[in-house]
Amino acid sequence: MAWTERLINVLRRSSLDAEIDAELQFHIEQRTRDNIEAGMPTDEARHDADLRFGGRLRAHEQTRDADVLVWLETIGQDVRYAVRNLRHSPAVTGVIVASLALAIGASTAMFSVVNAALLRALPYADSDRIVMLWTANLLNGSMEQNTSVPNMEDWKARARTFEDMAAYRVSQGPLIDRMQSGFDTEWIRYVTVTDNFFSLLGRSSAAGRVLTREDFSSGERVAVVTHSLWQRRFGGSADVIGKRVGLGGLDVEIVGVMPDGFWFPTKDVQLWMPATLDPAWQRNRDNRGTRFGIVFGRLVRGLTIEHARAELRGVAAQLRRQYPTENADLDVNLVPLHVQVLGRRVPFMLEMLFGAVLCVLLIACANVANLLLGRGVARRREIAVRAALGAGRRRIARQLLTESVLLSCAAGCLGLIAAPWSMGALIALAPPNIPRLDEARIDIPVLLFTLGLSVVTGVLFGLAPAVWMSRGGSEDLTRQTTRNSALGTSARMRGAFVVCQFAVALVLLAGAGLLIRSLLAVQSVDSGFGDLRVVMAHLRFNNALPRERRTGLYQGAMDRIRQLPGVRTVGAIGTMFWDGDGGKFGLRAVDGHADTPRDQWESLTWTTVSGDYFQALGVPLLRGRFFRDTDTRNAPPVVLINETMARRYWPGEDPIGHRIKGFDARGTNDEWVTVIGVVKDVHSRGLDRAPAAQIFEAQSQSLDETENLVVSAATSGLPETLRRAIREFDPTAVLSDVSTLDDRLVEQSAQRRFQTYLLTAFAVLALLLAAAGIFATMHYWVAQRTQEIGIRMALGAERRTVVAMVFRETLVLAVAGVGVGVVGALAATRTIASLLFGLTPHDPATFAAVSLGLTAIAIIACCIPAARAARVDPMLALKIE
Amino acid sequence: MGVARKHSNDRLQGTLDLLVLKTLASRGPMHGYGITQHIERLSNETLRLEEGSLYPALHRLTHAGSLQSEWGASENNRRARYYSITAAGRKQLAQEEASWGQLTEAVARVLRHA
Repeated sequence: MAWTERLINVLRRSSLDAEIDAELQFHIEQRTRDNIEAGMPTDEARHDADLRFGGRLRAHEQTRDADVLVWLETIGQDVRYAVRNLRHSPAVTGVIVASLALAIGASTAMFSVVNAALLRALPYADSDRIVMLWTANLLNGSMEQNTSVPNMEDWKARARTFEDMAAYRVSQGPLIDRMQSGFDTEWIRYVTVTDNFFSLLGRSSAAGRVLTREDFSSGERVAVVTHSLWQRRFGGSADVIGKRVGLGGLDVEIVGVMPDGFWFPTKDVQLWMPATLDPAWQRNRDNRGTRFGIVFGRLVRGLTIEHARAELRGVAAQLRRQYPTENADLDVNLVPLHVQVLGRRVPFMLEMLFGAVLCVLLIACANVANLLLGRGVARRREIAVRAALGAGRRRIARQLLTESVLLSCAAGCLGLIAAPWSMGALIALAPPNIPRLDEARIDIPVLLFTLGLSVVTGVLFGLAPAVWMSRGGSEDLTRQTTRNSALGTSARMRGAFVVCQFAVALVLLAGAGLLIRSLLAVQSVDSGFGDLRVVMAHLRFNNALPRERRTGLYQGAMDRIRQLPGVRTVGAIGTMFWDGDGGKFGLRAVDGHADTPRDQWESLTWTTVSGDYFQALGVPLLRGRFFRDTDTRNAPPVVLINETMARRYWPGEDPIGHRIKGFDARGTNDEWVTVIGVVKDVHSRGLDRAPAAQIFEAQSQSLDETENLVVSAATSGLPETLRRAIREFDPTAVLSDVSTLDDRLVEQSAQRRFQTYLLTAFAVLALLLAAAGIFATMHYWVAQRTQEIGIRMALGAERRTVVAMVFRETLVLAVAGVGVGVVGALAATRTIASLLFGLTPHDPATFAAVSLGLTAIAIIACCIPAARAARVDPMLALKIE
Repeated sequence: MGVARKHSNDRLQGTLDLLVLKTLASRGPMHGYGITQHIERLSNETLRLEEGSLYPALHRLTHAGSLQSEWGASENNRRARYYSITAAGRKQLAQEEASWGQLTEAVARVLRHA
């Protein structure tokens, strides 16, 4: 009976009982039949059969005990035997457990992150059926634009692939509690939602209620808040239900709190209220030309996103024909919710890193298999004796596997103990753009993963030695020749392990090398900013105030800051680090130029600045002039452009004085504006991306606000004085995200650093393990050949020749491993091409460096075995056997 | 083999094991009832087992790897569990036969010379 069958027996006692019963019943009936055939009356025949059989119940129980107990007993025996064996060689056991614990611990930490970010379902009912529906612009390639309410309603009415669709609009404003003294005004993001928002997501509230259809028809001013807002601002008290808070210019009553862990669409959104309270909804309810917000829907069960995509494209085409004015060039872009939440770069990075850590684990496994094989040589005699005493091959293999699984489980436990720390380090190092990372913890899936991983690694590294050693068991103890040939097999096997380890290590090293060089290349890019110590802050005033009042407040705040001690220059900008959504734009007109064909459009941003924005950042003016106080609303509109813009439209010309039409200052989109100056390019989209063409207009001529302050100062304590000054200036103003420009730039490359550091750490780990592997292999190699070396020396071989022999053997293994590794790396690095900067995935310098480096490490690792070989005493060596 | 060792002190148990192994080694696969009949017949009904005690022994030997078992059809087409001896079982049989020989020889010698 296979042990799996026995396990089933233990779990399903009833079927075991039935089997035993059937067997015993057969015996008694057979005896009864024979008795009858021998001439006994039926009653007597049955009685005799029972009598001869003895206590049937006892027989049954003893049989069953034999089934269950024997199995448990042999397992117990195997484990006891394994523990005894492992305690015999504490050094080997220690090395194995430590290296495996390292690899399993790293894998566990990495998995907990992958689990939180990629695997755990989003907190909505059947979240894989939720899809984002964006308006896409066929003209400029923008893929994620807002949608108008009438378009959303037409999609919803015509699409059969969706059960339901809802829309929301992200807003922000100051949260004010007038009843609570000392309540710091906080700037929060909130969304206004359509009436089916919560039913579509399929979640109910933790306290109070969610928004209902009646809230929308009645126009009640009600809101539902997140669990975290409830805890943070209202102390988690039950009387929050019914409380009224101010949000911008609106007073809303809190009617519900969502459960802990619920968020939508992003974690920073703190509050939901009916769209009917949103002025944008009231204005745009029936206007197909203006975009209200973002649409998402729930697919009909069983349908895929491809079905929906095909159908919605058709609907969008109908709408283009039906409403050519408003819907010209508009298409629809469907994105699964989980893709939207994670983005495209994070899953790829996490998968790459998870793959890398599993490679490290493989290398560790190969090391352990190697050590066990080495020890197996010493244990061959013991195993042969056990086999001679009647132990079956499978029993011996099982015994050896029990040992390796015991080792890996011990390592798994250690790895799990270390996991909270390694996980903490991982999270601390992680870039802020990994969503849901804060949810990473050691939970049931992570525990199961670690347990499974431990068992699988135990079997993986235990299998080869177990099969090899148990096969040896059936051989004759006394036959020296078979022993030597078996040793040859084990040496070849170990050589193969080393080659594999080197190959995998080289792949990781090549990847890490390419990422390191990319990171260095990115860091050496000149950001274009003159002074990285500039302090930046986000300043917002009550959005319920009229625009002119707010403009005045910004001017006042900047004047106030300018007078602070140590402050040199102050400026502000609408959007500083604009990333765009892939949209490409052209200008409406450029004087003296033909219109730019649409296929030549490029990314282009149009931003408003105020104060001494460029001077504060140290961005030099290359031509022309900065804005002046005379560039007012009544003066002719003027703009500054950056180098990229100048190069694109006026290559080899002076752009000063030329006029353009674009998104213009006064909102009519049909006014000529004059270029008055050219500023140097800055890498506002990240150091690894080419600067976009930029047009800057003055706040004094614009409708836009400039919320992002930049302050250049000679003092170090600026953030605190800044906060105090703003609080004194206007207690309801909210100043947030205070940091230096340097911090912002560092944050921009956080993901690149994270993936580089982590892959490098894994590669170094792989390198160390591979070095240990080749060291151990050569150590055994020398030990096995002590006699041969002795004979060679006795026959006159020099020590130099012996040392050369060791190095030659090492080099054969290392070069083979590096060769295989280079081939593998050429294929593997191509997949990370998108993570590289300024070099190809097959960068020859990197490949050469890691290949040479790895070979050098191999040579260093075998110095000790070589020295040992050189020290062999011919006389002693010959006496050994 | 802890289990075998534990029971080898129990002479009676060991004897039963020996008889079962020997029977299966010489006669090929058999069911429990067949083994009982065979032992009784050969010993001229001298060795009458308590038949129920055979089954714990059969199951124990199976788990120790000395026997293997599978369900099959009996002579009169009933479902019956058939046991057969394994390579490890043959080794055990050789050992037990040898030690049985030593024991009986020793006992015989004592009886002769005492």
